[in-house]
Amino acid sequence: MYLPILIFFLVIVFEVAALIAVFLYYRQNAKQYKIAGGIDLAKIKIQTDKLRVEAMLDSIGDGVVATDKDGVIIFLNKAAEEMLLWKADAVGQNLSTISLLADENGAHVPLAHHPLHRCILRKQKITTKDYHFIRRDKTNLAVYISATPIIIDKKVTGAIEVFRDITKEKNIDKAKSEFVYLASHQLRTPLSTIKWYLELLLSSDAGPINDRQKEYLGEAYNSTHNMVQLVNEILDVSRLELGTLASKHEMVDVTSIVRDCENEAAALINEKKAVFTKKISKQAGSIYSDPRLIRIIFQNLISNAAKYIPEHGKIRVEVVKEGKALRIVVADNGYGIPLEAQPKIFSKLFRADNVKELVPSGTGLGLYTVKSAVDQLGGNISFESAINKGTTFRISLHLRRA
Amino acid sequence: MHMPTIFILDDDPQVTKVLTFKLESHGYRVREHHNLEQGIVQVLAEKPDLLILDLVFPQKDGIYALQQIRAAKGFARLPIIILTNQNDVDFLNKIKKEYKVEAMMKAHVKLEDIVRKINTLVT
Repeated sequence: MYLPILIFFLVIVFEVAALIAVFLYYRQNAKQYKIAGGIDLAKIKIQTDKLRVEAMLDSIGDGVVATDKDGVIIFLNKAAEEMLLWKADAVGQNLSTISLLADENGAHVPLAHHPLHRCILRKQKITTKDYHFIRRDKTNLAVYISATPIIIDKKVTGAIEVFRDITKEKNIDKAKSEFVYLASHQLRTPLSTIKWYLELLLSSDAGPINDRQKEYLGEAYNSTHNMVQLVNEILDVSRLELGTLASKHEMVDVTSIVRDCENEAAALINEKKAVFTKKISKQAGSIYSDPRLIRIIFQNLISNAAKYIPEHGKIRVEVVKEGKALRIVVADNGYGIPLEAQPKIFSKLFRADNVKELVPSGTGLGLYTVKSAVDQLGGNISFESAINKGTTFRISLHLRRA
Repeated sequence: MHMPTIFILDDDPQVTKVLTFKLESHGYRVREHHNLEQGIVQVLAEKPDLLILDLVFPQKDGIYALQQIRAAKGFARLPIIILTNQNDVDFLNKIKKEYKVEAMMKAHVKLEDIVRKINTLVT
């Protein structure tokens, strides 16, 4: 009687096993279906991403070219095609041969100096705005170029060159420089003439004048003199800001620059019966740097020192060369810079309250100009100052090799 | 007594006027010209004792005058003062060396300074 029960159990076990087998079979297949569907989806996604990336690259206003490690073009965007006057047929060509470069004087840039080659060779980003493309139709295009190597596993596998048409910027720059040059000349000319006529009247060469007239003419003379200083300082600032004073290195005679600046401040130094001492080491006397920027530094610091010392004050200038650095010290025992003004002294147009009262004629441009010049020479400037004890400026300039 | 002649070559009549007045009052004979090309011809013809020369003229510049004058026979040692508002000191230093001239910046000097400089150059 147990037999039917046993058979019933066996049937149940068999059924369950069959169900499990079927389930397992379907599950296996389902996995495969899933994978096949997944690959198709991934393909579609890659295609879409590629189109999206291409659309994005084509929408960039700058020219973008990707090359392999030999400079052979793999991809170029629409803007690059338009700027280089090439179509998609540029792919497979060497970028350096289809984008010939010339420098500002029109001289061909050798292939080895092309930013693309340099970036691949040096494994670092290279940027320049000194060149223009010479295109297929022989026209020129001023460009800013930035070339960056593509590095995978520490190996350069290619490069990306991005370029931008800077014709407009170049023209504006040129117009600005011309304006500054003209303004410098045209503004100073009438001022110097006014000064000379006032001097003539003051000296009584053109006939006697009474004391009151003399006093008023003297005021006019001083104001004109201040105006000349202001024009000079504004011009230095605009030149620095426009980059027309972009550093041009040559051998610089530091000794004679310091002498010139001392002479310019001599009237004030003598008037205050001040003592001016200078110590310029032999090696520092002649350095490789930018003479105009070096002059701006000494001119402003020495004239400031002369302005902000009391009668019988002292000014000390020291220049030494230590290894690759030029160290400049300009110290005075003058009015000093109040503590609360110290963080702001290199800001444009800032003047500390104490000197505003003592010397009303300053412009607040001097130290700003000095800082800009130091920055452009890749140096740094610091100072210590105490009220009525004086101020010491220290500058360190990193010297390049000639 | 010999009255030294100073020749002023500057296109700005207001400049030449005030300089002429000052120099005459210090006992110099003064000749002035506002046109560069004609001025050079006059300088070469008149052989002044000293030339005051501006650098910026409407067409050619003062460097052209320096080249012409220094190249002329007997003018290698004519004392010349460049009187300009060009304030690129390093550019002026180069000119000073190359053409053996003095240079003064209009906006930075007094008439008295110019007279003093001339007195040292004209003896």
